[in-house]
Amino acid sequence: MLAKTAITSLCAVRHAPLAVAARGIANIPAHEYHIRFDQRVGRKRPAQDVLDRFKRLNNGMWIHAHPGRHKLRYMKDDTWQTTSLYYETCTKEQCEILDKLMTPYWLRPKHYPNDPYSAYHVRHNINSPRVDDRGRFLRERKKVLLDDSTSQRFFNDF
Amino acid sequence: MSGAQYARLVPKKYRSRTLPKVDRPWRPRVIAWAGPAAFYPNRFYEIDKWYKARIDKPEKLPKMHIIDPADHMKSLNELLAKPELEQINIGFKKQESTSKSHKSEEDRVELERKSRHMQLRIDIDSLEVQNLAVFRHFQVFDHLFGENVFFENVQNLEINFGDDAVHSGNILTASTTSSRPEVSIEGVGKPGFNTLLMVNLDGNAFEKQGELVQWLVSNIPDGEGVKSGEEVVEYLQPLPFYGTGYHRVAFVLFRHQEKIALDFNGSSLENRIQQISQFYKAHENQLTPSAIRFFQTSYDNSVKTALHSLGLKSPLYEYEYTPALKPDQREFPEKPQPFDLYLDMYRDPKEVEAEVLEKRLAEVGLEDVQEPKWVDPDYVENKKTLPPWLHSKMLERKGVGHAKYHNELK
Repeated sequence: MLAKTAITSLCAVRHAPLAVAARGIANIPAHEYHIRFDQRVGRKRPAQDVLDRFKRLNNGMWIHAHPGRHKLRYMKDDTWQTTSLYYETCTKEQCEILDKLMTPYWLRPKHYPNDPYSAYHVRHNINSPRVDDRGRFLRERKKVLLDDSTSQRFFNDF
Repeated sequence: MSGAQYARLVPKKYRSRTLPKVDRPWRPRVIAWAGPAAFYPNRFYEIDKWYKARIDKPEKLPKMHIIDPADHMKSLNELLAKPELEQINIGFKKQESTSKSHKSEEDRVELERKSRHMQLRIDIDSLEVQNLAVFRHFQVFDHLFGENVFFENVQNLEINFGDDAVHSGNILTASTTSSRPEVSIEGVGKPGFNTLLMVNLDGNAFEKQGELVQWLVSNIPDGEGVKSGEEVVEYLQPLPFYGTGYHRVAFVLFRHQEKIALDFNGSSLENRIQQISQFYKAHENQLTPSAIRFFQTSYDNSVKTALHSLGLKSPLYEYEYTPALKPDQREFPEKPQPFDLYLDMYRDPKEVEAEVLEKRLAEVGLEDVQEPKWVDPDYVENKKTLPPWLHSKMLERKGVGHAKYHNELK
């Protein structure tokens, strides 16, 4: 009898705390979906959650991992097993919202050594002019003073 | 400081009433904001750029695979079958072989028993296998003399490149054919002449119609060797260019009573091209084909050296695949797309190739291009740490993964 209690105390079952907030689409803490300002500095603070979960390419495109890709994988089909691993693009609206949640520092183009994303920082073969939210032109490269025909011949990225 | 702030430095009574307006291009900004239809004269329906005097636009129909409703129940074999016409023999009549032995019933039973027990031995060398079906299958007669034409092998013709003999359609390497073959022609025993023609049926790389004559020796007296004939066109080894697959090279033996004068202008590669059907048509009254052999060759380094010795470059033929269909690029795609695949689709292929080369040089030297035994030795670690799109690129064995280690031209 005594031995049995000793065993039970050794192998004590640890119950998971009941009040673990499962972080789903329904309960995102309120401070995370607002633009927050730091009172002490008097400036906007970037949303840390966005920085953790998303990645901004230098061309303004935000990408993110497929949400819920770890859920019930064994139940889902082969196509889903592969496509769920893709990093997905955001829509224009989402990109604009995410840009607003950032500070100018994070919107600046970044260049890192051995960057695996380096090939994707420049968009190619987009001819339409692009502007940011304040109506300024967005450029992939520094503006070179060339006439249009020459620049179209040598630079196919906008 | 903005322009307005600068302006405020000047006392108001000396300032002009309004700021000077700088004329900036505003149209592209509006187009970027409102879309390309912003300045169309009529934005409710599409503008038509066609000149109005033109009565009808050219009808653009998509290229479609047309199925004739009358034929669609037929099988492919039935559709491809040509109407059977009677084949015309342009050569000599085949001699009836008289040495056919009649077997008795007992012999037949014995033979059958042997064959059932896998004991029946047949000496293949002693058999005379002259099956024209192989020639028909490779369309040798069709491409030499036109359709519905054939002739029998009535004269024995033996051609050897060293140890390799030419039969009907066997494959020889291009390097074995670099020097002229030993030819022995059976003598018929009657006065007459033979003419030997060697043609590459697939070797014509020029605009001109025809086949490439590799070798032409005419007026070989009956029962004598090739050396006693006149070499009209010098021997040139068959030149199956890189990427053109197997070439059929045929030896045709013609028989004629009188001496014949064949004229070929020069033996440069372009001058060797001759339509054999026309050549035969011109000399139809004198020449009668009596034997045919053919072999196949494909590209080899000897072809390159032979072309270089002729003062030519070795051409490389490649299959041009139709580029994959892709949707128009959107700046921000509506539906979420895999970002790497989506952006790769619209990248310049040259830039992608440069990236492959860079990778290749980073991982392996120019000299020792060795495919590693394992693509990713620390798979488990990488699976946890790397982003999946990067890891899948590392694991791929086709595409970039293949091109890293396999150089087609080397």
